[in-house]
Amino acid sequence: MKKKGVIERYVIIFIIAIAGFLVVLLFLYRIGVNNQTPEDVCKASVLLRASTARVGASSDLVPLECETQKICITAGKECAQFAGEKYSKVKVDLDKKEESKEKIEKTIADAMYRCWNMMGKGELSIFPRGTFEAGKPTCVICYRIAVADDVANNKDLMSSVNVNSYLETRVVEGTDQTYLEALTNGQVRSYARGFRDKLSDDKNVKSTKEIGIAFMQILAESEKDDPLKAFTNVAGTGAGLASTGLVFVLGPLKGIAAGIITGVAFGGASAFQAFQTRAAAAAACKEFVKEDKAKLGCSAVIPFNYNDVENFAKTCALIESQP
Amino acid sequence: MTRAKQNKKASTITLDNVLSLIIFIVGIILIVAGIFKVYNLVGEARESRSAETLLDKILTKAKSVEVGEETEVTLQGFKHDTELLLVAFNKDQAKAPEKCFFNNCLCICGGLSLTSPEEIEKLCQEGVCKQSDTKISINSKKVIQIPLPYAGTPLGGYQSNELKIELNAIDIPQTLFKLKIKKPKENEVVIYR
Repeated sequence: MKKKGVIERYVIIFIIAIAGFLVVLLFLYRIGVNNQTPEDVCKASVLLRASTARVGASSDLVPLECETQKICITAGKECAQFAGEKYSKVKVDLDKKEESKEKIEKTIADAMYRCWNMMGKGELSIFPRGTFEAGKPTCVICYRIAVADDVANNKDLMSSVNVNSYLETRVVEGTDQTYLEALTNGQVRSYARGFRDKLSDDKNVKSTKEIGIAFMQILAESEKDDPLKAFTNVAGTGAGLASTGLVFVLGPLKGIAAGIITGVAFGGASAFQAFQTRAAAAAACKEFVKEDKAKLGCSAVIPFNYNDVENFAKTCALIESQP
Repeated sequence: MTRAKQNKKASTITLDNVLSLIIFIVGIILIVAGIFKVYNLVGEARESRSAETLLDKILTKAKSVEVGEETEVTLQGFKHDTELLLVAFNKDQAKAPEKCFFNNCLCICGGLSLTSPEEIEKLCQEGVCKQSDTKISINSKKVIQIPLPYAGTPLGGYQSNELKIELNAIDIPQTLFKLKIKKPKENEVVIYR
Protein backbone atom coordinates (compact mmCIF):
# COMPACT_ATOMS: atom_id res chain seq x y z
CA MET A 1 0.00 0.00 0.00
CA LYS A 2 2.77 2.32 1.02
CA LYS A 3 4.85 1.32 -2.02
CA LYS A 4 1.91 2.10 -4.29
CA GLY A 5 1.59 5.51 -2.69
CA VAL A 6 5.26 6.28 -3.35
CA ILE A 7 4.99 5.28 -6.99
CA GLU A 8 1.85 7.38 -7.45
CA ARG A 9 3.62 10.36 -5.88
CA TYR A 10 6.56 10.06 -8.26
CA VAL A 11 4.31 9.51 -11.26
CA ILE A 12 2.45 12.72 -10.39
CA ILE A 13 5.73 14.64 -9.91
CA PHE A 14 6.98 13.26 -13.20
CA ILE A 15 3.81 14.29 -15.06
CA ILE A 16 4.00 17.76 -13.51
CA ALA A 17 7.67 18.03 -14.56
CA ILE A 18 6.86 17.06 -18.15
CA ALA A 19 3.91 19.46 -18.22
CA GLY A 20 6.16 22.22 -16.85
CA PHE A 21 8.75 21.47 -19.50
CA LEU A 22 6.12 21.71 -22.23
CA VAL A 23 4.76 24.99 -20.81
CA VAL A 24 8.28 26.47 -20.77
CA LEU A 25 8.87 25.26 -24.34
CA LEU A 26 5.58 26.77 -25.49
CA PHE A 27 6.44 30.01 -23.70
CA LEU A 28 9.89 30.18 -25.31
CA TYR A 29 8.39 29.36 -28.70
CA ARG A 30 5.76 32.07 -28.42
CA ILE A 31 8.27 34.66 -27.25
CA GLY A 32 10.76 33.64 -29.87
CA VAL A 33 8.45 33.52 -32.81
CA ASN A 34 5.72 36.04 -32.21
CA ASN A 35 6.97 38.92 -30.15
CA GLN A 36 10.62 39.35 -30.94
CA THR A 37 12.45 40.85 -33.87
CA PRO A 38 14.94 38.61 -35.71
CA GLU A 39 17.68 40.63 -34.01
CA ASP A 40 16.27 39.86 -30.54
CA VAL A 41 16.00 36.17 -31.37
CA CYS A 42 19.60 36.16 -32.62
CA LYS A 43 20.88 38.00 -29.56
CA ALA A 44 19.08 35.59 -27.23
CA SER A 45 20.61 32.58 -29.00
CA VAL A 46 24.07 34.20 -28.82
CA LEU A 47 23.69 34.72 -25.07
CA LEU A 48 22.41 31.18 -24.58
CA ARG A 49 25.32 29.72 -26.53
CA ALA A 50 27.89 31.80 -24.66
CA SER A 51 26.33 30.81 -21.32
CA THR A 52 26.32 27.10 -22.10
CA ALA A 53 29.91 27.32 -23.33
CA ARG A 54 30.85 28.78 -19.94
CA VAL A 55 29.53 25.78 -18.09
CA GLY A 56 31.50 23.49 -20.34
CA ALA A 57 28.80 22.39 -22.78
CA SER A 58 29.77 22.21 -26.42
CA SER A 59 28.69 25.48 -27.98
CA ASP A 60 27.63 23.44 -30.99
CA LEU A 61 24.73 22.16 -28.92
CA VAL A 62 23.07 25.55 -28.96
CA PRO A 63 22.38 26.69 -32.51
CA LEU A 64 22.55 30.35 -33.45
CA GLU A 65 19.16 31.63 -34.58
CA CYS A 66 20.57 34.42 -36.71
CA GLU A 67 19.02 35.06 -40.08
CA THR A 68 20.77 37.45 -42.45
CA GLN A 69 18.62 40.58 -42.69
CA LYS A 70 18.37 42.29 -46.07
CA ILE A 71 18.19 46.06 -46.48
CA CYS A 72 17.54 47.77 -49.78
CA ILE A 73 18.55 51.43 -50.18
CA THR A 74 16.26 52.79 -52.86
CA ALA A 75 14.69 55.88 -54.34
CA GLY A 76 11.73 53.82 -55.54
CA LYS A 77 13.01 50.84 -57.52
CA GLU A 78 13.22 47.32 -56.16
CA CYS A 79 16.60 45.80 -55.32
CA ALA A 80 17.19 43.14 -57.98
CA GLN A 81 19.87 41.66 -55.71
CA PHE A 82 17.13 40.45 -53.34
CA ALA A 83 14.84 38.97 -55.98
CA GLY A 84 12.84 36.18 -54.37
CA GLU A 85 13.85 37.23 -50.83
CA LYS A 86 12.19 39.25 -48.08
CA TYR A 87 13.83 42.61 -47.39
CA SER A 88 13.25 45.98 -45.78
CA LYS A 89 13.64 49.31 -47.56
CA VAL A 90 15.42 52.53 -46.70
CA LYS A 91 14.07 55.25 -48.95
CA VAL A 92 16.24 58.13 -50.09
CA ASP A 93 15.28 61.26 -52.02
CA LEU A 94 17.70 61.74 -54.88
CA ASP A 95 16.84 65.46 -55.03
CA LYS A 96 18.20 65.90 -51.50
CA LYS A 97 21.78 64.81 -51.87
CA GLU A 98 23.08 65.71 -48.41
CA GLU A 99 20.17 64.06 -46.62
CA SER A 100 20.42 60.92 -48.79
CA LYS A 101 24.19 60.68 -48.29
CA GLU A 102 23.69 60.80 -44.53
CA LYS A 103 20.90 58.22 -44.68
CA ILE A 104 23.12 55.77 -46.56
CA GLU A 105 26.00 56.32 -44.14
CA LYS A 106 23.71 55.90 -41.13
CA THR A 107 22.16 52.73 -42.54
CA ILE A 108 25.58 51.09 -42.90
CA ALA A 109 26.94 52.40 -39.59
CA ASP A 110 23.80 51.29 -37.72
CA ALA A 111 23.94 47.84 -39.30
CA MET A 112 27.56 47.49 -38.18
CA TYR A 113 26.74 48.63 -34.65
CA ARG A 114 23.63 46.43 -34.40
CA CYS A 115 25.63 43.43 -35.61
CA TRP A 116 28.36 44.11 -33.03
CA ASN A 117 25.74 44.50 -30.32
CA MET A 118 23.79 41.42 -31.37
CA MET A 119 26.89 39.23 -31.26
CA GLY A 120 27.87 40.27 -27.74
CA LYS A 121 30.24 43.19 -28.47
CA GLY A 122 33.23 40.90 -28.77
CA GLU A 123 32.93 39.95 -25.13
CA LEU A 124 31.44 36.50 -25.61
CA SER A 125 33.01 33.32 -26.87
CA ILE A 126 30.47 32.14 -29.39
CA PHE A 127 32.06 29.71 -31.79
CA PRO A 128 33.52 26.31 -30.98
CA ARG A 129 37.29 26.36 -30.73
CA GLY A 130 37.65 23.59 -33.30
CA THR A 131 36.43 25.84 -36.08
CA PHE A 132 39.40 28.17 -35.70
CA GLU A 133 41.88 25.66 -36.97
CA ALA A 134 44.02 27.05 -39.75
CA GLY A 135 43.17 30.50 -38.52
CA LYS A 136 39.87 30.73 -40.29
CA PRO A 137 37.18 32.37 -38.28
CA THR A 138 33.56 31.35 -38.24
CA CYS A 139 31.26 34.13 -39.35
CA VAL A 140 27.76 35.36 -39.01
CA ILE A 141 26.51 37.53 -41.85
CA CYS A 142 24.22 39.86 -39.95
CA TYR A 143 23.12 42.07 -42.83
CA ARG A 144 23.19 42.39 -46.57
CA ILE A 145 22.79 45.96 -47.77
CA ALA A 146 22.12 46.62 -51.44
CA VAL A 147 21.53 49.77 -53.46
CA ALA A 148 18.78 49.75 -56.08
CA ASP A 149 19.78 50.79 -59.59
CA ASP A 150 18.24 54.26 -59.26
CA VAL A 151 20.55 55.05 -56.31
CA ALA A 152 23.60 53.19 -57.65
CA ASN A 153 23.44 55.12 -60.91
CA ASN A 154 23.60 58.45 -59.10
CA LYS A 155 27.41 58.68 -59.15
CA ASP A 156 27.41 62.11 -57.58
CA LEU A 157 25.59 60.84 -54.50
CA MET A 158 27.47 57.57 -54.28
CA SER A 159 30.90 59.13 -54.54
CA SER A 160 30.07 61.47 -51.68
CA VAL A 161 29.25 58.69 -49.21
CA ASN A 162 31.95 58.32 -46.56
CA VAL A 163 31.06 55.83 -43.91
CA ASN A 164 34.51 55.87 -42.31
CA SER A 165 34.10 59.51 -41.48
CA TYR A 166 30.56 58.90 -40.25
CA LEU A 167 31.77 56.19 -37.90
CA GLU A 168 34.47 58.44 -36.52
CA THR A 169 32.38 61.55 -35.96
CA ARG A 170 28.80 60.52 -35.26
CA VAL A 171 27.43 59.40 -31.95
CA VAL A 172 25.40 56.20 -31.62
CA GLU A 173 21.79 56.99 -30.72
CA GLY A 174 21.17 56.66 -27.00
CA THR A 175 24.86 56.64 -26.07
CA ASP A 176 27.64 59.19 -25.71
CA GLN A 177 30.08 57.19 -27.85
CA THR A 178 30.88 57.55 -31.52
CA TYR A 179 30.34 54.50 -33.68
CA LEU A 180 34.10 54.03 -33.82
CA GLU A 181 34.36 54.09 -30.03
CA ALA A 182 31.37 51.79 -29.63
CA LEU A 183 32.71 49.29 -32.16
CA THR A 184 36.07 49.20 -30.42
CA ASN A 185 34.61 49.07 -26.93
CA GLY A 186 35.79 52.62 -26.26
CA GLN A 187 39.41 52.02 -27.13
CA VAL A 188 39.78 53.89 -30.40
CA ARG A 189 38.69 57.48 -30.88
CA SER A 190 40.16 58.22 -34.27
CA TYR A 191 41.92 56.39 -37.05
CA ALA A 192 45.66 56.10 -37.09
CA ARG A 193 47.05 58.49 -39.67
CA GLY A 194 48.71 55.78 -41.74
CA PHE A 195 45.53 53.83 -41.88
CA ARG A 196 43.55 56.87 -42.96
CA ASP A 197 46.10 57.60 -45.70
CA LYS A 198 45.98 54.03 -46.90
CA LEU A 199 42.21 54.23 -47.18
CA SER A 200 42.29 57.27 -49.37
CA ASP A 201 45.13 55.92 -51.51
CA ASP A 202 43.70 52.47 -52.05
CA LYS A 203 43.71 51.79 -55.75
CA ASN A 204 42.23 48.31 -55.47
CA VAL A 205 38.77 49.53 -54.75
CA LYS A 206 36.12 47.51 -56.50
CA SER A 207 32.69 48.97 -56.71
CA THR A 208 29.68 46.84 -55.91
CA LYS A 209 25.97 47.29 -55.48
CA GLU A 210 25.82 45.01 -52.48
CA ILE A 211 27.76 44.66 -49.27
CA GLY A 212 27.52 42.28 -46.36
CA ILE A 213 28.10 43.08 -42.70
CA ALA A 214 29.75 40.10 -41.04
CA PHE A 215 30.76 39.32 -37.50
CA MET A 216 33.92 37.26 -37.20
CA GLN A 217 35.65 35.76 -34.23
CA ILE A 218 38.93 33.96 -33.81
CA LEU A 219 40.43 32.43 -30.73
CA ALA A 220 44.07 31.82 -29.98
CA GLU A 221 44.75 28.13 -30.42
CA SER A 222 46.62 27.63 -27.18
CA GLU A 223 47.45 29.40 -23.99
CA LYS A 224 50.86 30.32 -25.34
CA ASP A 225 49.43 31.91 -28.44
CA ASP A 226 49.16 35.61 -28.65
CA PRO A 227 45.60 36.36 -29.73
CA LEU A 228 46.91 39.17 -31.84
CA LYS A 229 49.24 36.72 -33.52
CA ALA A 230 46.32 34.40 -34.15
CA PHE A 231 44.52 37.32 -35.67
CA THR A 232 47.56 38.08 -37.77
CA ASN A 233 47.50 34.60 -39.23
CA VAL A 234 44.44 35.67 -41.09
CA ALA A 235 46.07 38.91 -42.05
CA GLY A 236 46.97 37.75 -45.52
CA THR A 237 43.38 37.27 -46.40
CA GLY A 238 42.42 40.07 -44.10
CA ALA A 239 44.45 42.34 -46.27
CA GLY A 240 42.49 41.02 -49.18
CA LEU A 241 39.37 42.08 -47.47
CA ALA A 242 40.94 45.35 -46.61
CA SER A 243 41.69 46.16 -50.21
CA THR A 244 38.46 45.05 -51.74
CA GLY A 245 36.06 44.70 -48.86
CA LEU A 246 37.26 47.80 -47.28
CA VAL A 247 36.08 50.39 -49.48
CA PHE A 248 34.12 48.09 -51.35
CA VAL A 249 30.98 49.41 -51.47
CA LEU A 250 28.56 51.43 -53.14
CA GLY A 251 30.68 52.85 -55.84
CA PRO A 252 34.28 53.88 -56.00
CA LEU A 253 34.07 55.66 -52.71
CA LYS A 254 37.26 56.50 -51.02
CA GLY A 255 37.24 55.19 -47.54
CA ILE A 256 33.70 54.12 -47.11
CA ALA A 257 32.75 52.30 -44.05
CA ALA A 258 34.44 49.13 -43.83
CA GLY A 259 37.85 50.37 -43.40
CA ILE A 260 37.40 51.16 -39.93
CA ILE A 261 36.43 48.08 -38.53
CA THR A 262 38.87 46.48 -40.74
CA GLY A 263 41.44 48.77 -39.30
CA VAL A 264 40.29 48.31 -35.83
CA ALA A 265 39.50 44.73 -35.68
CA PHE A 266 39.62 41.99 -38.18
CA GLY A 267 41.32 43.22 -41.25
CA GLY A 268 42.90 45.23 -38.56
CA ALA A 269 45.28 42.38 -38.29
CA SER A 270 46.90 43.69 -41.40
CA ALA A 271 46.39 47.25 -40.39
CA PHE A 272 48.11 46.96 -37.07
CA GLN A 273 51.00 45.16 -38.61
CA ALA A 274 51.50 47.72 -41.27
CA PHE A 275 50.96 50.74 -39.18
CA GLN A 276 51.99 49.53 -35.77
CA THR A 277 48.63 50.55 -34.40
CA ARG A 278 48.58 47.54 -32.17
CA ALA A 279 46.25 49.13 -29.72
CA ALA A 280 43.72 49.73 -32.42
CA ALA A 281 43.89 46.19 -33.65
CA ALA A 282 43.63 44.91 -30.13
CA ALA A 283 40.57 46.94 -29.48
CA ALA A 284 38.15 44.17 -30.07
CA CYS A 285 40.61 41.56 -28.99
CA LYS A 286 40.27 40.75 -25.38
CA GLU A 287 39.99 37.90 -22.96
CA PHE A 288 36.68 36.23 -23.43
CA VAL A 289 36.83 34.61 -20.07
CA LYS A 290 39.34 36.27 -17.83
CA GLU A 291 40.05 33.30 -15.63
CA ASP A 292 40.78 31.13 -18.62
CA LYS A 293 43.66 32.58 -20.57
CA ALA A 294 43.39 29.91 -23.23
CA LYS A 295 40.26 31.55 -24.36
CA LEU A 296 41.90 34.60 -25.78
CA GLY A 297 40.71 35.84 -29.07
CA CYS A 298 39.50 38.60 -31.30
CA SER A 299 36.19 39.65 -32.72
CA ALA A 300 35.30 42.09 -35.43
CA VAL A 301 32.52 43.41 -37.55
CA ILE A 302 33.49 43.97 -41.14
CA PRO A 303 31.68 45.17 -44.18
CA PHE A 304 32.67 43.28 -47.31
CA ASN A 305 31.85 43.16 -50.99
CA TYR A 306 29.11 40.54 -51.08
CA ASN A 307 29.97 39.56 -54.63
CA ASP A 308 33.67 39.03 -53.92
CA VAL A 309 33.02 35.42 -52.99
CA GLU A 310 36.59 34.16 -53.42
CA ASN A 311 38.06 36.63 -50.96
CA PHE A 312 35.33 36.11 -48.43
CA ALA A 313 35.50 32.32 -48.61
CA LYS A 314 39.28 32.42 -48.08
CA THR A 315 38.73 34.28 -44.86
CA CYS A 316 35.55 32.79 -43.61
CA ALA A 317 35.17 29.06 -44.04
CA LEU A 318 31.92 28.63 -42.18
CA ILE A 319 28.84 30.82 -42.02
CA GLU A 320 26.64 30.18 -39.03
CA SER A 321 23.77 32.47 -39.97
CA GLN A 322 20.83 31.40 -42.08
CA PRO A 323 20.50 32.94 -45.56
CA MET B 1 10.59 -2.41 18.52
CA THR B 2 11.85 -5.88 17.76
CA ARG B 3 14.87 -6.53 15.50
CA ALA B 4 12.58 -8.25 12.93
CA LYS B 5 10.35 -5.17 12.72
CA GLN B 6 13.40 -2.89 12.42
CA ASN B 7 14.78 -5.01 9.55
CA LYS B 8 11.42 -4.96 7.76
CA LYS B 9 11.23 -1.14 8.06
CA ALA B 10 14.80 -0.75 6.81
CA SER B 11 14.17 -2.97 3.79
CA THR B 12 10.95 -1.01 2.99
CA ILE B 13 12.90 2.27 3.13
CA THR B 14 15.61 0.82 0.88
CA LEU B 15 13.01 -0.48 -1.55
CA ASP B 16 11.29 2.92 -1.58
CA ASN B 17 14.62 4.63 -2.21
CA VAL B 18 15.56 2.28 -5.03
CA LEU B 19 12.14 2.67 -6.64
CA SER B 20 12.27 6.44 -6.41
CA LEU B 21 15.81 6.47 -7.75
CA ILE B 22 14.80 4.31 -10.73
CA ILE B 23 11.78 6.50 -11.46
CA PHE B 24 13.96 9.61 -11.12
CA ILE B 25 16.58 8.24 -13.54
CA VAL B 26 13.97 7.10 -16.06
CA GLY B 27 12.31 10.52 -15.81
CA ILE B 28 15.59 12.35 -16.37
CA ILE B 29 16.42 10.11 -19.34
CA LEU B 30 12.98 10.77 -20.87
CA ILE B 31 13.30 14.53 -20.37
CA VAL B 32 16.83 14.63 -21.84
CA ALA B 33 15.71 12.46 -24.77
CA GLY B 34 12.75 14.79 -25.29
CA ILE B 35 14.99 17.87 -25.28
CA PHE B 36 17.34 16.27 -27.81
CA LYS B 37 14.43 15.22 -30.02
CA VAL B 38 13.06 18.78 -29.98
CA TYR B 39 16.57 20.14 -30.61
CA ASN B 40 17.08 17.83 -33.58
CA LEU B 41 13.69 18.70 -35.06
CA VAL B 42 14.43 22.43 -34.70
CA GLY B 43 17.87 21.90 -36.25
CA GLU B 44 16.43 19.97 -39.20
CA ALA B 45 13.76 22.62 -39.71
CA ARG B 46 16.45 25.33 -39.73
CA GLU B 47 18.49 23.45 -42.33
CA SER B 48 15.38 22.86 -44.46
CA ARG B 49 14.45 26.56 -44.26
CA SER B 50 17.94 27.55 -45.38
CA ALA B 51 17.82 25.03 -48.24
CA GLU B 52 14.41 26.33 -49.33
CA THR B 53 15.68 29.92 -49.33
CA LEU B 54 18.61 28.86 -51.47
CA LEU B 55 16.40 27.00 -53.97
CA ASP B 56 13.96 29.96 -54.17
CA LYS B 57 16.86 32.30 -54.89
CA ILE B 58 18.23 30.06 -57.68
CA LEU B 59 14.82 29.52 -59.29
CA THR B 60 13.93 33.23 -59.13
CA LYS B 61 17.24 34.11 -60.74
CA ALA B 62 16.72 31.40 -63.38
CA LYS B 63 13.33 32.89 -64.26
CA SER B 64 14.85 36.30 -64.87
CA VAL B 65 17.45 35.07 -67.39
CA GLU B 66 16.64 35.81 -71.04
CA VAL B 67 17.03 33.15 -73.73
CA GLY B 68 20.64 32.96 -74.92
CA GLU B 69 21.91 34.85 -71.86
CA GLU B 70 23.99 33.81 -68.88
CA THR B 71 24.00 35.26 -65.38
CA GLU B 72 25.77 34.72 -62.09
CA VAL B 73 24.21 34.55 -58.66
CA THR B 74 25.92 34.87 -55.27
CA LEU B 75 24.51 32.46 -52.72
CA GLN B 76 24.97 32.16 -49.00
CA GLY B 77 25.82 28.64 -47.92
CA PHE B 78 24.83 27.54 -44.43
CA LYS B 79 26.05 25.28 -41.67
CA HIS B 80 25.14 21.63 -42.25
CA ASP B 81 26.30 18.43 -40.65
CA THR B 82 26.36 16.18 -43.73
CA GLU B 83 27.44 16.86 -47.30
CA LEU B 84 24.67 18.52 -49.32
CA LEU B 85 24.23 18.38 -53.09
CA LEU B 86 22.21 20.44 -55.54
CA VAL B 87 20.49 18.04 -57.93
CA ALA B 88 17.95 18.55 -60.73
CA PHE B 89 15.18 16.18 -61.84
CA ASN B 90 13.08 16.52 -64.95
CA LYS B 91 9.56 15.38 -65.53
CA ASP B 92 10.57 12.97 -68.31
CA GLN B 93 12.99 11.23 -65.95
CA ALA B 94 11.83 7.77 -64.88
CA LYS B 95 13.09 8.07 -61.33
CA ALA B 96 12.51 11.24 -59.36
CA PRO B 97 11.60 12.02 -55.74
CA GLU B 98 7.90 11.78 -54.97
CA LYS B 99 7.81 15.41 -53.90
CA CYS B 100 8.54 16.44 -57.49
CA PHE B 101 5.04 15.18 -58.47
CA PHE B 102 6.13 14.35 -62.04
CA ASN B 103 7.34 17.92 -62.55
CA ASN B 104 10.75 19.42 -63.18
CA CYS B 105 12.36 20.15 -59.87
CA LEU B 106 15.51 21.29 -58.15
CA CYS B 107 16.53 19.59 -54.92
CA ILE B 108 19.09 19.88 -52.14
CA CYS B 109 19.84 16.40 -50.89
CA GLY B 110 22.29 14.62 -48.63
CA GLY B 111 24.74 12.64 -50.75
CA LEU B 112 26.95 10.63 -48.46
CA SER B 113 25.25 7.25 -48.34
CA LEU B 114 25.02 6.85 -52.09
CA THR B 115 25.95 3.48 -53.62
CA SER B 116 24.80 4.06 -57.21
CA PRO B 117 23.84 7.13 -59.27
CA GLU B 118 20.27 5.85 -59.51
CA GLU B 119 19.96 6.06 -55.76
CA ILE B 120 20.14 9.85 -55.72
CA GLU B 121 16.37 9.98 -56.09
CA LYS B 122 16.01 7.92 -52.91
CA LEU B 123 18.28 10.29 -51.00
CA CYS B 124 16.29 13.25 -52.26
CA GLN B 125 13.13 11.84 -50.72
CA GLU B 126 14.56 13.20 -47.48
CA GLY B 127 15.83 16.39 -49.08
CA VAL B 128 14.22 19.70 -49.95
CA CYS B 129 12.79 20.13 -53.46
CA LYS B 130 11.14 22.96 -55.37
CA GLN B 131 9.18 22.40 -58.53
CA SER B 132 9.80 24.40 -61.68
CA ASP B 133 8.03 24.92 -65.01
CA THR B 134 11.38 25.03 -66.74
CA LYS B 135 13.56 22.02 -67.50
CA ILE B 136 16.69 22.29 -65.34
CA SER B 137 19.99 20.56 -65.83
CA ILE B 138 23.13 20.67 -63.71
CA ASN B 139 26.25 20.90 -65.80
CA SER B 140 28.83 20.18 -63.09
CA LYS B 141 30.21 16.82 -62.13
CA LYS B 142 30.48 15.61 -58.60
CA VAL B 143 32.47 12.47 -57.92
CA ILE B 144 31.59 10.55 -54.79
CA GLN B 145 34.07 7.93 -53.60
CA ILE B 146 32.71 5.12 -51.51
CA PRO B 147 35.27 2.86 -49.80
CA LEU B 148 34.33 -0.80 -50.11
CA PRO B 149 35.40 -3.51 -47.65
CA TYR B 150 38.93 -4.90 -48.14
CA ALA B 151 38.98 -7.97 -50.35
CA GLY B 152 41.52 -10.79 -50.40
CA THR B 153 43.82 -11.17 -53.45
CA PRO B 154 45.02 -14.48 -54.99
CA LEU B 155 48.49 -13.82 -53.54
CA GLY B 156 47.12 -13.68 -50.08
CA GLY B 157 47.34 -9.93 -49.69
CA TYR B 158 44.55 -7.44 -49.48
CA GLN B 159 43.46 -4.77 -51.90
CA SER B 160 41.15 -1.91 -51.28
CA ASN B 161 38.20 -1.30 -53.51
CA GLU B 162 36.66 2.06 -54.03
CA LEU B 163 33.47 2.77 -55.82
CA LYS B 164 33.45 6.06 -57.72
CA ILE B 165 30.11 7.52 -58.58
CA GLU B 166 29.82 10.47 -60.93
CA LEU B 167 26.78 12.64 -60.59
CA ASN B 168 25.46 15.78 -62.20
CA ALA B 169 25.40 17.67 -58.95
CA ILE B 170 26.92 20.68 -57.18
CA ASP B 171 28.28 20.73 -53.64
CA ILE B 172 26.59 23.19 -51.30
CA PRO B 173 29.41 24.82 -49.33
CA GLN B 174 29.10 26.39 -45.89
CA THR B 175 30.25 29.80 -47.03
CA LEU B 176 29.46 32.21 -49.88
CA PHE B 177 29.54 30.71 -53.38
CA LYS B 178 28.54 31.57 -56.92
CA LEU B 179 26.52 29.70 -59.49
CA LYS B 180 26.20 30.42 -63.18
CA ILE B 181 22.83 30.10 -64.82
CA LYS B 182 22.26 30.12 -68.57
CA LYS B 183 19.17 29.71 -70.69
CA PRO B 184 20.09 28.09 -74.03
CA LYS B 185 16.45 27.97 -75.13
CA GLU B 186 12.98 28.77 -73.85
CA ASN B 187 11.96 26.49 -70.98
CA GLU B 188 15.45 25.16 -70.41
CA VAL B 189 17.96 26.27 -67.84
CA VAL B 190 21.50 25.06 -67.21
CA ILE B 191 23.13 25.57 -63.82
CA TYR B 192 26.87 25.16 -63.23
CA ARG B 193 29.71 26.44 -61.06
